[in-house]
Amino acid sequence: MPTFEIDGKKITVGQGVTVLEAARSQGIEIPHFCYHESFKSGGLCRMCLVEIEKMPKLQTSCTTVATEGMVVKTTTDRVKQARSAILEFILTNHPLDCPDCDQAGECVLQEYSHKYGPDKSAFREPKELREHIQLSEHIAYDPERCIMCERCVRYYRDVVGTEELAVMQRGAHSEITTFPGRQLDYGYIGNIADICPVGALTTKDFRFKERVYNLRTTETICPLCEAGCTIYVDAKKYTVYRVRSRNKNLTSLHEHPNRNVTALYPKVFIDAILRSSFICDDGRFGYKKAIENGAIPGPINRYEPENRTWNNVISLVAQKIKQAGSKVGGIVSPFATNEEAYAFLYLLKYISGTNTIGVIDFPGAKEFNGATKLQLRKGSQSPNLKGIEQIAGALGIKITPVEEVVASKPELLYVLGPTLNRMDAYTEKIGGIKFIVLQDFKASAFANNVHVVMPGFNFAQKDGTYTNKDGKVQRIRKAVDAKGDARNDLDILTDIIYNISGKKLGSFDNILGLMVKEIPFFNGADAAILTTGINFRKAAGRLW
Amino acid sequence: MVDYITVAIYTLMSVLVFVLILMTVAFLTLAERRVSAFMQDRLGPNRVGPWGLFQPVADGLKFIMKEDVTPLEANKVLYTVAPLLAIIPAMLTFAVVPFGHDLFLHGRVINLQIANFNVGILYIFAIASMGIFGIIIGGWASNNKYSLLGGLRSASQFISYEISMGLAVIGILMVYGSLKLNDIALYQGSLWFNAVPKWGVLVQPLGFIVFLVSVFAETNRVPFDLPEAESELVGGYHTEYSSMKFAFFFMGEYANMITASALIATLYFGGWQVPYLHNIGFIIPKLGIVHLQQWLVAIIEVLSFVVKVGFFLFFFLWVRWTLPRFRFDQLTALGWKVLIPLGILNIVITGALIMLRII
Amino acid sequence: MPEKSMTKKKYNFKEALYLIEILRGLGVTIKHFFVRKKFAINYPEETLHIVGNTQQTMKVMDKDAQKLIDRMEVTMNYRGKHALLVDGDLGRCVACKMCETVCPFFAIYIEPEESPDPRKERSPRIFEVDLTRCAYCGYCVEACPENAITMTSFYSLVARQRPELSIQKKELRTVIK
Repeated sequence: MPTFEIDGKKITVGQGVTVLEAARSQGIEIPHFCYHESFKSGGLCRMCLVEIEKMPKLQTSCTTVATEGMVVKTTTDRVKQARSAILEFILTNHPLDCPDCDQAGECVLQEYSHKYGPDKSAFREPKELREHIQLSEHIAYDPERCIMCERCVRYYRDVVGTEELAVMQRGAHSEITTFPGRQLDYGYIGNIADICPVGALTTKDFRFKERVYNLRTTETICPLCEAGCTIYVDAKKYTVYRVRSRNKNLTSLHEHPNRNVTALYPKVFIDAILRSSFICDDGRFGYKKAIENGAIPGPINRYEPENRTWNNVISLVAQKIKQAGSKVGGIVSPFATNEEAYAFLYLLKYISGTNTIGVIDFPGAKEFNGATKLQLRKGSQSPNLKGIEQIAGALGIKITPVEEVVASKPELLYVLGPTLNRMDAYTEKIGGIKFIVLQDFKASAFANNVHVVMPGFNFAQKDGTYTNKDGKVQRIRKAVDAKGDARNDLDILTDIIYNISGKKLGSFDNILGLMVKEIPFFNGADAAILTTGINFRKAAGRLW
Repeated sequence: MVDYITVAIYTLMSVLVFVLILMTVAFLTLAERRVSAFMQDRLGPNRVGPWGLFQPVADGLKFIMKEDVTPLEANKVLYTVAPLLAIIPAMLTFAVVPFGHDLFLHGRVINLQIANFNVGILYIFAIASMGIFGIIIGGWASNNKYSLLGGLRSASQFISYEISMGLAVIGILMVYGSLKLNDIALYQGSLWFNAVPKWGVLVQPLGFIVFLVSVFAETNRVPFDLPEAESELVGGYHTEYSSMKFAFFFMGEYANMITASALIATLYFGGWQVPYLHNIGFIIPKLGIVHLQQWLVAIIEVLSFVVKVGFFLFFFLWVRWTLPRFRFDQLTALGWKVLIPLGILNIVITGALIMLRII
Repeated sequence: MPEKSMTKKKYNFKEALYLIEILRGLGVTIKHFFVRKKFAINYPEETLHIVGNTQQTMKVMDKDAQKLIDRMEVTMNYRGKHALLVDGDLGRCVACKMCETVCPFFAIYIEPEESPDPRKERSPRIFEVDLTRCAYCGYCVEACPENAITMTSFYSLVARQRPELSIQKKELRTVIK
């Protein structure tokens, strides 16, 4: 356990910790471009130079391991001068057209230029301008903006393991390319746009769409498979503009509980980080599948076409459920949150007395081509399957395939969406059922053939929790407002329950509290932590 | 025996004067805006008709078309009566103002004056002080604090300046020895030292200044327009008034201005007198006589009167766009501490001069 | 807190008499009554010339308003209708949304696109200025990093319907002719 001094502060760190990481743990900022906690340092950008006593030259702090008795200085004039000179060199060919660049606002180079950069450049020669290259159909690469930190190259080497990217040419002409005639494989390419410190790598999905400083960032959960990766949703008003990966609870390597201090990059540790720092391309580019909205402007009532207000529809549904008694068939989508599933199952079990429920089957999340070290996808494309199973088990309800529920010809069929077109296959088989209710945010062939459609919210519009395959209860948050006359699915369900039995289930945090109390699986899930969302990332155990 | 023709002539004349005053009021509103614009290097209303001459018609139409609002808590009767009380006395006062000497038509002598009372000046004071009731009642009946304050200010202002005005007029009475306005105008034609017409402004310069200042205060004009002071009291006594009721207050103010101008002209500037003009024509001492027809003389006299009144109307506007408004304590101080002593001094001086037979 | 005091100006006899000063004041107003400078402009009959080209930089501002009125010209720094400047056939705007961000009235709406012209990366697909919302404060001109948006001295902004006052990219580019 070496003890050393940094900026006059004596600190003790673990064996093998670099100076940069040690400084970060002390809140001392050392600017850097190429260092990233997920892969090996290269010492490429030279931005993290610090002065170490008894060493003749400045050292790159990202590769220098802290040792006993070291005296590190990060704010001397020599260091400042070096940073300024490095930035001047980086900017010899980097165009200063921040208004053109999508990174402006979250650009590390922009920020460091403000903080540490020189006022003017000694270079008077014109900058070399180059066309952008399409690295894949999703990623565009601007060689002129690239600062050669090689984060993307190291990402493909250390994290994905396929080593598809390499640096070609030399000096000012060097650029990142794939092998001739090849493009990057779909799978985990989107992450290189996230880790690029400047605007050199951009996703086609977001390129030139909106300024980042106009977007509101929300911490939420990716709904596209059972892994439940943590993501940021960047949105403005009604529109989701992009999805980014969220580095779950790691503010620095140093804080990680699994930190093995004997080795620089232990295997266990890297796995832990990989799972938390990156997301797959299906999640990054496929989010649109789960949020398409506006197709259903308001409640549809084909049973009594003149009664189309929410009150009318809800009282009609409540009345029909009461009449049907225990002959109510329920189908739930695994996109429903834990709270919605609980309310729905509560409705079936305690009000109707039904003992079976159908869960819509989503296809398995297939892994991508190529032998990648990174395998993030898990299970099927149903984010909350585990949660529904647990709640149904606790309430004593049997889960059956959807076919059986439809084939049993119940008096009333209640489908809790979002169905995402997976119910279309049953459109012809529902003929004999007298009354079918659907809650969904998106129009589909199935929705055109049911009696009552109540437009709900998609995952970006509502609050709730999802349970992933590992059993972690994670929070999803409202990122955008809903257009039109749609309502929160949970409010619709609780209104129906109130209309039939007079029992008030309350809002989502009340229901979560109820579940924590009644269902052993949710024990330890602290509703307060999950709802406030401020400290939840630091909570231990299953809570993220 | 009643002389029907005389009655008809005077009736016709009063109607004519009434209409003329209303016309003058209408164009005075236009003149006010145009004159103020010119004095401020602007253009003023110039869109309706040639040089904006039909602007008063447009204004009048607007007043008629506007909604007539009566505040819920207002005293309905007094609220309605007040504008009438403001405009009627202003019109009545004009009855005793002579706008010409006599006209001989077919052996009939016609006074160019609606009513030649022997108590002319007293009549003016009596009726003019009625006008203040309109303002006070209007201010009170509106049930609005600004209106009430405007009305109260008007009352105290009126009391302050009525006295100095009376004191100034006493000087005139001492010099000319008559209450009849026509007589006063006539006597101003006599020559002083056989050379200069004996106009009031020459024999009573101090009295003239006191009278002038008092008249400004009496008519609520700038710099003494405290009852309606827009910057302090919203609209003063007429804050709540709209439509034709407001128009009546407005017209009353301008009618008052016309009467006041006519009084200044009559008392201090010879009224209808033109220097050296007599019934038979111009008689200039030591130089000779220019003979004129009697009707021509009458016309010249009426024109002279109109020109004098017109000048003083312009003077009212001129002062308005030159001087700022007084503060209320300054206003009362000026009335009580300056003008009343000066008025008394004027009487003393006038008495002394009369004793010395200078005037 | 320091006490503030004000000493009243002592008037000499001439000033204390007021009358002479009042007469002087009356003299000033009557002078203006007869000898008037022309400042007001009878708008529909008389119109100001829009001088200069917005492409050229601002001329030295005329300090004497009267001179401008005599020549019937709009000042060069008048903030009127917006214009998007063009270099040859290439628009300067890169749709960076600086003006949209800085606009206090949300009067500007921009949708960027990949530029069809190879000489620059991005350009506005939609550039819309809502003149009914605009307060002509000129912040957009200040914010523009490419000097693409300016305000012309074009002052006659009238329309029969609201949509006509929402001007598009094409009109913004032609206004400078």
